[in-house]
Amino acid sequence: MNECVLVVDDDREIVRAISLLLEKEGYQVLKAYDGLEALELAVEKPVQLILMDVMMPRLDGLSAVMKIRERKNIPIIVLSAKSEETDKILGLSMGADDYVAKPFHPQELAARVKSQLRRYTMLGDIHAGVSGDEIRNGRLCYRQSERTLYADGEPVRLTATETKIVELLMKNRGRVFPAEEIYRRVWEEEAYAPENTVMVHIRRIREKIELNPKEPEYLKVVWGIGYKMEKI
Amino acid sequence: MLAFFLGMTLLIYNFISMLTLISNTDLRQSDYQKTQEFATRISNRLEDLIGIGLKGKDWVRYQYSYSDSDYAYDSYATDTVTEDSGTVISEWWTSGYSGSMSYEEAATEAGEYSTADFNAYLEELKADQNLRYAVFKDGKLTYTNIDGLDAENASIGMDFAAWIPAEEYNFQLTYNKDGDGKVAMEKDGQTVDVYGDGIYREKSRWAVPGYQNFTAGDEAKAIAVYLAAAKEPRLYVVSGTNGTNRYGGVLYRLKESLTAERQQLVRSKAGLAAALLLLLLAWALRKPRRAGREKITGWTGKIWLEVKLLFFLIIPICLILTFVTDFLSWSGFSLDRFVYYGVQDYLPQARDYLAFHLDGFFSFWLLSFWPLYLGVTDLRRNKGQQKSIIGRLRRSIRTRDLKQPVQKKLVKWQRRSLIPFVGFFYAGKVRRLAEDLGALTEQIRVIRNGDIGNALSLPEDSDLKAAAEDLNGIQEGMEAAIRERTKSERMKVELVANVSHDIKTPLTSIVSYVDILKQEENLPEDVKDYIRVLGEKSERLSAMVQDVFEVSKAASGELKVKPEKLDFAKLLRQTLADMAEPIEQSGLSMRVSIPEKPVEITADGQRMYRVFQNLLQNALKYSLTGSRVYLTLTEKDGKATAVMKNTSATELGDGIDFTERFVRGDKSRTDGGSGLGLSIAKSFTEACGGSFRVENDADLFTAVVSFGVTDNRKEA
Repeated sequence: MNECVLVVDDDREIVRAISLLLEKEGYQVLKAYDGLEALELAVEKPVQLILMDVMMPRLDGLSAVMKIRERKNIPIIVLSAKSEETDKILGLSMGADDYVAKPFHPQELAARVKSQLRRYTMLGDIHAGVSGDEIRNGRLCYRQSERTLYADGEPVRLTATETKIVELLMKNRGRVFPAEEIYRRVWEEEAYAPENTVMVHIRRIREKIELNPKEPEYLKVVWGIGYKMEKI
Repeated sequence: MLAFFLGMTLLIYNFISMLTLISNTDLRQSDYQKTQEFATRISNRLEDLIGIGLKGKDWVRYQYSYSDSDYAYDSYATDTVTEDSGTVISEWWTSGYSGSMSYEEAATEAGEYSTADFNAYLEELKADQNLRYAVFKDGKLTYTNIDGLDAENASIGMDFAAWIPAEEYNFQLTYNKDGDGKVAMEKDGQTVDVYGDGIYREKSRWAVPGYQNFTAGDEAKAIAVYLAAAKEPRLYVVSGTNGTNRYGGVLYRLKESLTAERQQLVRSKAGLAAALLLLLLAWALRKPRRAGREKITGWTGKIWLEVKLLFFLIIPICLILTFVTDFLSWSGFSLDRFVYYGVQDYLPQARDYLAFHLDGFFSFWLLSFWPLYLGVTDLRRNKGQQKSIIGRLRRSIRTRDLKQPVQKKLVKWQRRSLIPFVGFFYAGKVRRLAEDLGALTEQIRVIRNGDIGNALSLPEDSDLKAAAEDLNGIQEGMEAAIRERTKSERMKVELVANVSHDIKTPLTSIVSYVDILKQEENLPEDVKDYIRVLGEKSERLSAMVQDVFEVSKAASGELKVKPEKLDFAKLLRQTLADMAEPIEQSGLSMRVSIPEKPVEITADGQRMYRVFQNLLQNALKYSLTGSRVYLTLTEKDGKATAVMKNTSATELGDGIDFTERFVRGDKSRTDGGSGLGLSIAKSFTEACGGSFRVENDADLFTAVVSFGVTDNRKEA
């Protein structure tokens, strides 16, 4: 712990609230109220993560992100009231690592911060993909030899069935599996009500690995077709 | 309608016959003896008897023989006529001479008349027992048909009652009984007033001698006559030169024809009464009659005017002409006379002719009445709607009612193109106009199909140039309007986006601080509760803001959907699975009927999931505790339909459109729901190309979502 987080937003109250939240989690917090300040602080001070708002005077968030990226590689989470797909894509392509829409659940925000930091500090700047034993996908990393899934470097306690499902989906990242197939492969018998069973397991897995189980980023439903592990 | 027809027919028929008959005043009498005809006959008979008495067979000869052009009368009246008696008398009695012939000359002209013929005549007279007579010359009986009477026992002054029973022969006449040349009459024992004031006029009933201006002459003073007429004339059988005949004599015939005509009159009266009744009926039924009329005029309206004119007018006119020509030939029409003397000359003849032909006339009336009636009603009803060949022709070349110069030109060209030689030129012009017209209609079609880019240009001299330019103007206007609308739609979305964005910022603070509060320790319990409430409400606010944003996007069509092929059945199963926990916790039971085999539709899966999630959430939230929720998926006629039904816990009003924004079933509920759920669901569904509707029947709430089934074969 004791990482330093920079919180940037032109709304002072929000900055204060987030600071309180993060300080409770044990982080050190720096505050900035516009892009220029953020830029200064990011460059000068030892910051490990930046929480950046988009709409700010003097220098807006995304431009600031771009500028910071020229120098630093630290994780940046963009906060914005705009929640459109396009805004998200824009933010991420500008160099952010994550995009959180306002209003956010503070707990979720905290979880994300934690996740990003762990990845950064522990795992460094790594590429996703398969390298030998490991299958990496964003936050998740599945070590086949150990039959263990790591989220943000931390092992996740999964049941045997859950592990089988995760293995199947991780090995076939991005591919959509109909419930029948998942059932057949995992339980090795024909399903007669696969959706319910499979769904239950997926729900449980989500609880364990997703930052916000209600809005899963990895284990997704492709409605009308099946389920997949999103390829990050 | 029928009643009217019959009524009118009968009316006309009987009216005419009534006219005919009424004009004959004699018909008023039931007693034939009271008729004028009777009086005339008796007068004639008297004249005959006096004549026979005077001249014997010569009288008969002259009476009953005719020469070619004139016939001779004997006149035994004097020429003494008084001024006030009118010239008619002198004509009648003294015109025995035709032209300037004397009696003897005329008699010679008339020719021989044999005794046998005279006797035959006498026999005839005698045989008529209905009219008894006795003729006395110089006091001696010369002729009689009264049995038992002879020269010995008869004299003019005797009482004839012994031979002539008064009950049978109630009319008795004596001439010159007292030597005064006068006539005395008795009917039913009463004396009849013969002479009135003594002046014989045309109107006088009895044309018998004895008036001041009408006497028999001195010669006739030698004769005395007794006449008796039977009360009830009868038929007599006579064996004559021609075998046995039934014979009735003039009186019988008179009575018979009177009876017949009276009967005819009665029939006419009856017919008339019936006609009036029918007409009354027709009046009473005038509504159906009107309907009948409508129907008839409906038919007649379809017939061309020319045909109708022919039928309705020509026929009556023909009939009239027939009569006129007949009349003309009958009356010996001569154009010179007509021109010279005028119509006046022909009036009396016309009157006679009419009287003569009145019965024929009724058929004329009948035949012409109905066509005329039809014609008139048709005209009245179908005024202005007459179909007519000529009318059509006229209309087709008329330009007055065409307002557009193009129209006028076209029709003019059309007219002129019919003229030989020159016509070709105009035909060419028409052709060119047709081409321009084609271009114009083509352009209209193009615009209608949505392509509003290209303007149409016609050559400068085209008559439709102005029209083309107008069309282009419309096109531009449409483009501008569409641009405006898209702009305003975009602005609306931007507005909503901006507003919701502005709301989100303070909302974020609230959520964050509430969270911080939650983490505070050592708070009193009630304060903790307050914090909990704050948390819930701000949560709800967040959800609402997001909903509003989505609804505005969906409504303006800005919502981006990614249609892909998916299995409807699977989608539903996944949704149910996804919500298995809340379903379980709600205490409601699901009754699900989803087919095993795939039901392929094309839609945005994520959105449709939201739709069904919303529907299910509603069902879970608002259903009556312990009741069932039914979900079925059926495929029929190329359509896949999902139906969800649940029993509402609260009363749902009638006629509320739940899919309207901010409409909620229970207006007082304030937990959860924003009232936007169904509205969003509907927008999503429709954006994916499906149909969405909800209905409530008492407490049963039904949601129906349907999509067209994607046909695999088509894809290939």
